[in-house]
Amino acid sequence: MKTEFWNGNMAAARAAQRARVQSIAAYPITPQTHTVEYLAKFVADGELHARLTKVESEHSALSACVGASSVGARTFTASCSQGIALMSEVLFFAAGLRLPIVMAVSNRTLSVPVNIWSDHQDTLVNRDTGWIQLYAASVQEVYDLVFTAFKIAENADVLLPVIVAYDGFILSHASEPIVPISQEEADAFMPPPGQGTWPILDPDNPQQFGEVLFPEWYPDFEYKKHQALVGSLGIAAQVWREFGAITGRTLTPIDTWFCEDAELLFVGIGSMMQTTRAAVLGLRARGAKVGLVNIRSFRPFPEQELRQALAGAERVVVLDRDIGYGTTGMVYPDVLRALYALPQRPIALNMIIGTGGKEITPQTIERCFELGLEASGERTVLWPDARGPEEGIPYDESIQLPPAPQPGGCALNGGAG
Amino acid sequence: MHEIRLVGRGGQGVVTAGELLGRAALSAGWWAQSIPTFGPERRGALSQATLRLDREEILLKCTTAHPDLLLVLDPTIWHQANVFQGLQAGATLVFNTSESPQEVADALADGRYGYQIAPEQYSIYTVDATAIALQELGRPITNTAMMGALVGATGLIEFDAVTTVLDERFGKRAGGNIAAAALARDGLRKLGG
Repeated sequence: MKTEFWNGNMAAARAAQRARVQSIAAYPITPQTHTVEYLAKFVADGELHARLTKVESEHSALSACVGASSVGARTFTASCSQGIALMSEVLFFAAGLRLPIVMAVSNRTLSVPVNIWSDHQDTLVNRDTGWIQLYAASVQEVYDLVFTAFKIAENADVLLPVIVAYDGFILSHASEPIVPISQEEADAFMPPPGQGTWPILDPDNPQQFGEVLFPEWYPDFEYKKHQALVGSLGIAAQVWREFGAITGRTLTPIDTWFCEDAELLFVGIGSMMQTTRAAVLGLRARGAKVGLVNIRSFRPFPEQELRQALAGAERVVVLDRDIGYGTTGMVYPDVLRALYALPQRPIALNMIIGTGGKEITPQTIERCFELGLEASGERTVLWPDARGPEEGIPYDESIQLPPAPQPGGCALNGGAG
Repeated sequence: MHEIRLVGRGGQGVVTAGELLGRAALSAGWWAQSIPTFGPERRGALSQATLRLDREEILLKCTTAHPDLLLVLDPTIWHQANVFQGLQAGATLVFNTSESPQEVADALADGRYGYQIAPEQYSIYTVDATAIALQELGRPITNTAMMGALVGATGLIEFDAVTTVLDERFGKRAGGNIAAAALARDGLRKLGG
């Protein structure tokens, strides 16, 4: 296939098209909007034979997806931020009904303050809904993960919905070279849609789903759902190996980068880990023994793989582009769990960076590296790009918020600093 | 790696220029990345994009802080916003303006428009892209003319690759845009040149 130059939202839409999705229901929200527009165009132009259901909210969007998936359709949606918040109760329905819906999420933080830019708060607060959660680090990965997500989700031993998350704007609106899979290769890889590996609503064979379950059997149901999610890690790895045999691009639950001799290892999710790779190359060139582990599958959590990757490090810095208010970032506790069984535990720090779209540059990561080397480990949660008495940016109580822009003037935005 | 900052005003096609140049660069063998910067965009307000070109995969997922090329699509945006932050020494600056490169250099040296930089540290080009766009397109949308100016100033991308992406993007309306790009490429004036 010819190399294309697509943004992340186009990559998500094209991947869903290649997977021959049959039903789409989504409600537009910045920065996801393109995805819905592109899919609507594919359907209108006859490039994609799918039912596109117009809805009045995200709650309705996911409800329509639940309906479509319940009758056996390969089903796709896309959302983010407040949109996922509005879907909240239906997220649990979709997982509880074991419906293999795929949702692309162009990560955006949650209000208030109102902010349209990326962090991982919107998906991470939904970590316990029973969905698989995969995080893309590049536009190519958005495509590859959305496409393969259908095969993982529909595996008879999984039957769970999947979120493929990618940073809003920084991937959703950024264009990069991507190599799509051909329709012939896609059809050879992916089972035909609508073949129903899961129980479906069928008038000829009436059944009820989602009924009351009394306490005696409830734990058994929860146990099976949990076990399916845990077991999906191996199935995802298998699906990705098959995909790699076709494309030469092998995805894995985690990626390691200069881990072997590293004294300090970064761990995190999403596009910031690509920037961290660039920073690691720069730090290595100056003699620093530093590396990273990128977590692609956050749910299920690759505990064993991560423990193995982190085993030799003296210090581990978990980068969280989110905050679990009152405790730590939301990736950090799982990493600690992986470390706990090690005979020699490293100092494990949590650094909260890039919330609300604050740019994560190689300089941000270098600052995290310096703080990571200095820290005693007594204080575990640090905010290297925030202002505070003990934080990364020097703080002065007398500093006031910047005044509102004057009419006619405009300030240079964001990272061009 | 080349890091290009494109600046202009909402409505002039800054984001489109970044994307189309990336597309053209791809066909010229570059690994390209185009990242628009989004804020409270509206017609007439500052709009900017980052374009990176490299021979291998670009790992950075952030906008450029240190461009080696600045493409200014609007004649006065640099009077109102500091578009010069973080420029690499020796960077190439291409302005859409009716002024001569010497007039722009003088204005940068004395900071009369609010932002002062040392012009001798940069390669400065000017072209009247607004006049070209008005002539060829009937509207002051300067992005396609400035794509031609970038080709003329840097040679990073072949002009044929630019005409190909303009054909793909604009179809029947490509003619005027290609003409605008060619006129801007040929009409560039270089400081000291």
